[in-house]
Amino acid sequence: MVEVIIHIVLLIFGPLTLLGFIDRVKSRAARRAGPPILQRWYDVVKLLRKGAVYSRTTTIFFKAGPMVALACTAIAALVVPLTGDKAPLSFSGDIFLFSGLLVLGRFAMLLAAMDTGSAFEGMGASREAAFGAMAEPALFLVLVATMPCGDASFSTAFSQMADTGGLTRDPGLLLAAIAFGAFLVTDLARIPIDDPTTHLELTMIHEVVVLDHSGPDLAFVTMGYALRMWILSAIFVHLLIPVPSGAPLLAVGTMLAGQFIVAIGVGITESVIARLRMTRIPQFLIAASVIAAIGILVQFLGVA
Amino acid sequence: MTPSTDLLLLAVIGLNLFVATSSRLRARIRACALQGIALAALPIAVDGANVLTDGPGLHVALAVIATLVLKAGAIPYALTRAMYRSGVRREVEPFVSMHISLLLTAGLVGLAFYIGGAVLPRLPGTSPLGIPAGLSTLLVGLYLAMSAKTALSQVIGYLILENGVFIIGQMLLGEFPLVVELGVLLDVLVAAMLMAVLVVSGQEVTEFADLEDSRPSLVDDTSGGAR
Repeated sequence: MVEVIIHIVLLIFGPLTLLGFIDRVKSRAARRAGPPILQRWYDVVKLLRKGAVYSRTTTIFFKAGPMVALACTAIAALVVPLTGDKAPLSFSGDIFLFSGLLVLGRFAMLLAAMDTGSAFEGMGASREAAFGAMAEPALFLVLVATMPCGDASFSTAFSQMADTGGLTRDPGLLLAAIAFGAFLVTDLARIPIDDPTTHLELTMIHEVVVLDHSGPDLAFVTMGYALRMWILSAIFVHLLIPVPSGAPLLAVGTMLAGQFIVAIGVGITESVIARLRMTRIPQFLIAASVIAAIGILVQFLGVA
Repeated sequence: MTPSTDLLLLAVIGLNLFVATSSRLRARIRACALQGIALAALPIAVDGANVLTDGPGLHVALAVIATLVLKAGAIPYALTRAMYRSGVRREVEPFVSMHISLLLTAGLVGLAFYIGGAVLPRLPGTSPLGIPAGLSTLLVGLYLAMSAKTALSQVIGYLILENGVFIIGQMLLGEFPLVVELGVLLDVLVAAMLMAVLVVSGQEVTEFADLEDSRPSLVDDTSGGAR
């Protein structure tokens, strides 16, 4: 019970702070003072108190998009263990629930984007759908590579990974982690796939999809995005540093420290490299799938 | 067997994939040089650092140094010079698109894993990744040499193929006799130098270091570069 409460507290307070932390890292890398770490919180609270503006061409889909996306991500977040114990919601096959909910959330946002009738948003939706679909094989190959057990559940896989010794014993896991990192930047639309701070609609992928949302809707979009980033980077951290089960304090500590190290990595990457050309992105994603597939091959050979 | 061996072999496979997907010749040459460093480190990773001092230590140390100097130093240097002098900086319009090339390479790696893991017997005390990594390097090298349009890419493919042979040899035999090892290295060096020289002089004669179109042409090469 305590674990469940800790899990939910982490899910509530972690994500927006993490986003603010990335902003801070990026501003420090650019020698700026940067906004307060809690700035994203202030933004969300401000937006929640505002009213939303809706275009006359939009329908119920536009209003439902951000809510559905946030709800899907929140349920998906219950599947991923954060406290070193079983996740609040875990059953055999929960990885399919997880990936399905992530895709459903994105689908809701894409419908909302197309509902605006704007050409830019339609273009962004088509890009986001295309790249999301191309990233999907990478995700599933990573999941296969990390789940040698018959039980396709995050909770089982995480504890098993820790018990077998993780990266030091299994180089296949390293490849899976690299491929998952590629999936993570694609799904979260970060550099090198997409630039979250871009101001040119023509080059946007993710940002253009949420261009028309305002007020509480925009707050939901931000919260959903932050939550998505939180759970994906929690999985990433666990692939790199698995913590043995039965040590909740150690697990939470490692997870938090890892999250912020990942955030520093993301911030520095975004400060030093530019995004890929749009035509190179499919190649990047194919490479991610190939790396994950080699990870599976390596495990198949039984390198341990 | 140490985990560092597996990581080195994985790095070699990763570099294969990288070479297959990058169209810039300089990046390819650098990846080749990195592979050379990984190969030089391989004997140390397999047997531990004391291999340099114990027993036939001098032999291993010599081989390591020779590999490092030639594969990570002299050959990449010669190729880089040839690249600048010939003015061909990238593989323009490859026969096979980069996406398909990447998938083909992945298929070759999978084939190598199948042959190396399921068909060939595994020698006791060696990394199970050894033969698959060597075979995949060999196959990818062969593929690169076959699909190359520019002469320099062909040389790079040949070098990667040779790296694959080196890994297989290392994994099957443990260690070659010194004379054989140095002889092979010298062969590779001479071949690479010769090819580098030929790329440049061939380019000077025909204005093109492009294998498909090696006759003089009035159309200027759009790949740019100092000419």
